[in-house]
Amino acid sequence: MSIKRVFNINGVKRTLICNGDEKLSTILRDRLLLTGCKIGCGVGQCGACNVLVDGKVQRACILPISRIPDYAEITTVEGIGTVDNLHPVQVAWMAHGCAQCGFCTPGFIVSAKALLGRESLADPRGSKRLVPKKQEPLPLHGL
Amino acid sequence: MDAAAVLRGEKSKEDLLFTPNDNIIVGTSFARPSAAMKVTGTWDFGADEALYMPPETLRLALVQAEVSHANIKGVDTSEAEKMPGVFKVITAKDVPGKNRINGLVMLPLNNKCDGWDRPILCDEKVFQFGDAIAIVAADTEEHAKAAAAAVKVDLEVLPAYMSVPEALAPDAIEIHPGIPNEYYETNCIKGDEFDWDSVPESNMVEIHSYCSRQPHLTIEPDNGYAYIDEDGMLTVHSKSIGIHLHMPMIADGIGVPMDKLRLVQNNAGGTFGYKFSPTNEAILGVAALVCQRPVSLNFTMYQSITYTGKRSPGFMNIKLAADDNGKLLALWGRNYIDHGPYSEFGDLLTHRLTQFVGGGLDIPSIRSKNTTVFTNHAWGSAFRAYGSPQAYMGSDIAIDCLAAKMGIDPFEMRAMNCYKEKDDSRTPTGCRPDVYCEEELFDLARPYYQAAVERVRQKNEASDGRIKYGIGVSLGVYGCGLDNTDASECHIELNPDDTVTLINSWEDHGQGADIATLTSAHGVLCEAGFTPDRIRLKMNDTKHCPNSGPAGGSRSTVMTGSATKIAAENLVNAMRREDGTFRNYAEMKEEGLDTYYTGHYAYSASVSLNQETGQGEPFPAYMYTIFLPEVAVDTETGKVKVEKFTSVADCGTILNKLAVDGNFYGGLVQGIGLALSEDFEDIKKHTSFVACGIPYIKDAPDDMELVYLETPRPNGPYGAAGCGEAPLDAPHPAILNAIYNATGARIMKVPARPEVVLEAIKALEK
Repeated sequence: MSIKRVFNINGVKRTLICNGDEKLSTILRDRLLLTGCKIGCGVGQCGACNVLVDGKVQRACILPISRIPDYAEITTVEGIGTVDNLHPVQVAWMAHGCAQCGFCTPGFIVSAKALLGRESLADPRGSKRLVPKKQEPLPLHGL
Repeated sequence: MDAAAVLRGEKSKEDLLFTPNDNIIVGTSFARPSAAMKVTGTWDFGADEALYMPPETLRLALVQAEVSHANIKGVDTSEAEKMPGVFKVITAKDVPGKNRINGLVMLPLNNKCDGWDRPILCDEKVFQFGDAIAIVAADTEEHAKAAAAAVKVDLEVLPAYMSVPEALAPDAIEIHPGIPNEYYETNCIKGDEFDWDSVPESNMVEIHSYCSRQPHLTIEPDNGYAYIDEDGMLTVHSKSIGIHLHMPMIADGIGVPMDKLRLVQNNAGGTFGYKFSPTNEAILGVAALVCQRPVSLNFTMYQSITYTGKRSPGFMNIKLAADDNGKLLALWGRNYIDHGPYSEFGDLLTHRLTQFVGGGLDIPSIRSKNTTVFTNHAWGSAFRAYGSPQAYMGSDIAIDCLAAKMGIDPFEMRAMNCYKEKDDSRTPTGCRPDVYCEEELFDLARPYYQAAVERVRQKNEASDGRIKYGIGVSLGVYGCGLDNTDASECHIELNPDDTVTLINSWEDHGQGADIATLTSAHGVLCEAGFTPDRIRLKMNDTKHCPNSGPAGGSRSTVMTGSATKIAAENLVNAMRREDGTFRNYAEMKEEGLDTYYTGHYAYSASVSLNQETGQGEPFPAYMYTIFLPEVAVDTETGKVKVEKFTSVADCGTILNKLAVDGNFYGGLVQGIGLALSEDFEDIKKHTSFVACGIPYIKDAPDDMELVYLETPRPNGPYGAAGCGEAPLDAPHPAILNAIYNATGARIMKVPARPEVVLEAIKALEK
């Protein structure tokens, strides 16, 4: 059974006909070639596929399309900044050598962007709390 | 926090990034060339590129063994062949070549293998869980997987030997008929025989320890693709960290001449060494050759975990003796390596025990015997620090036990016994280390150790006793290079637009081959005025790039960094005029000068290896690390938390601070995983990141202090040694030693999961 969804993806309106139990990551990667959404574990443990859905961090690899409301705002790493116009969190990531192999980097960038949006501007001390309390922490396995 | 400062308007983006002064980047925090693409998600990996392949591309799925040891009686593909979208089901009989991976015997003495024991597709036997039995090529991945599930495999299941003791039991059958399960032996025979009766019992210890089957747990699953290129070359793209090394390993098995085979490394999302072994390369090659169509294969994380190589478990039995002052006299060892069912590099790995049991310590007499054993568990592949985590799980725990027994401070015990120039100290292989830096390293580390001792004392004083705090010490030393002889090559070209292109095969796990290639060359090219943005990189394609050797054994900076520097020197020397100015491209051409140069670098031991004794001078450089973790042990739950981790290391000159720091941060966290949580032992249970015990963010201390001594190395470019493996040779004994310091409980195996710690604490009460 096919369903229709209209999403605003990185500021662009997209009409998508999909199978309702397809995961958001499949639509982003295979259909739209937004390959910044990476598939690591594929079961929601690692966060390499993290994207923002209506401002909230979501694991795209386990999120079925049918559970995302029509007209949801979806932001992938591609929507945060570009090589020619980097977001400050991306510059900071480069400056501190955080991108090593770079595979999980998009997931971190998306999560960090959400965290910054929520806390740091309002409260200069906020960004020191790097792990939000109510959110499951992300895995850390550097090189 | 820097990003937040920019958002608040306190800093600008330009403030954050290091910009070179006077065109110098050696030793700075210059960001790696790939960084901007990585942070924007535009750095493509293999699975991304597979999506961009042409419509006729066939997607592959494997039929894999679900038992660990069996005879194959038949494979029935008839149902699968009729399934939707199926192009071809490939079994062993379809493989054009020898259908075996060449395991490349490295050390023939006392080696009963010829290296041809690993099938591409199993024909006679299944040797381990996950072994590939057939390949399905179909129009979509879903169709390929559905058809793979329909292939029927008729098996006669055999007893599975999942550890060294099981494989060495008297009634165990030979896993590879005709070759005993105990198939290789290497000995360290250094110095005179020691009379163990000459020292009192109070001056010696004997320990038995176990280092685990640590899984690599890269976030990117294994993947690759293959096709026939415009010159008729079978071209395989994968995460290979040894593209030239893997060519002879897979060519005969696939059935393709070497000059018609081309390997390319894709951008890799971490390997930690598992890609020193071919994984999917031969499978992809066979499928592309048989189907004559482009093919791609993506592993799931389950497949990556259950069917790629693992760290080989080490069963360590070590005796250590000292004089009354604590000065070491002798080491004895009898150690076994479980290398799984395939012999490739099993000799090399086991020989690393010969080289590193007792490493970093001045021990006049060593007798260690190290044996490799076939089992039916996961095959042993390279893993960061290769062999040394097993070695130090033996000798570093032993010196900690001896210090405790003799009432000597564990830090001072190691400091007293470290390599010293005045004593003409020798490594376990009987040679001088590249530099005598350990005394200075201990002097540098001492205040950090003493401060940690004081912190731990205060925490224990303030604790109600349930949480106990401890500080541990270990000393890790590891070599940079392949054994005995090693060589690398880099090319350089001056382009018509007066940029230069560096051409090498410095494979990137993610450790920073791009920034290291750039920096190695730029330190010379800057003399002729080249800025980093005028240096291009062309890397990791056997058709276009020279053989720089594999990216393993922390060799790349020393070997390929040197070759790259030499290539740059050759170009700059050609560009230099007598008056000291430099010719540009047009002027070079006008004067008939070459614009393409080669850099070669080779290391050859001045004392070649004696395979009987393990004595020789195997490495051009070494890395030295003192590990100082501080732990909190919950004595009611057994849960251990590393609260602070200090490392004091000497990797020679630091070429790029961000890359070296990155290697250390990650390596120390991986060490915490090795010590406390990571394992691949239960093949039914240990099948995901969580079940395998990957450290999550709260398992890594916020407080990690990286301290460096930079003793210039005689054989490295600009005085650099390698650094990638330095943080993972001995972090885990330090953590176990810290648990002992906290609780008095001595743990002899990793991972020290809470139940293991609790049992050890309870045993003390009895």
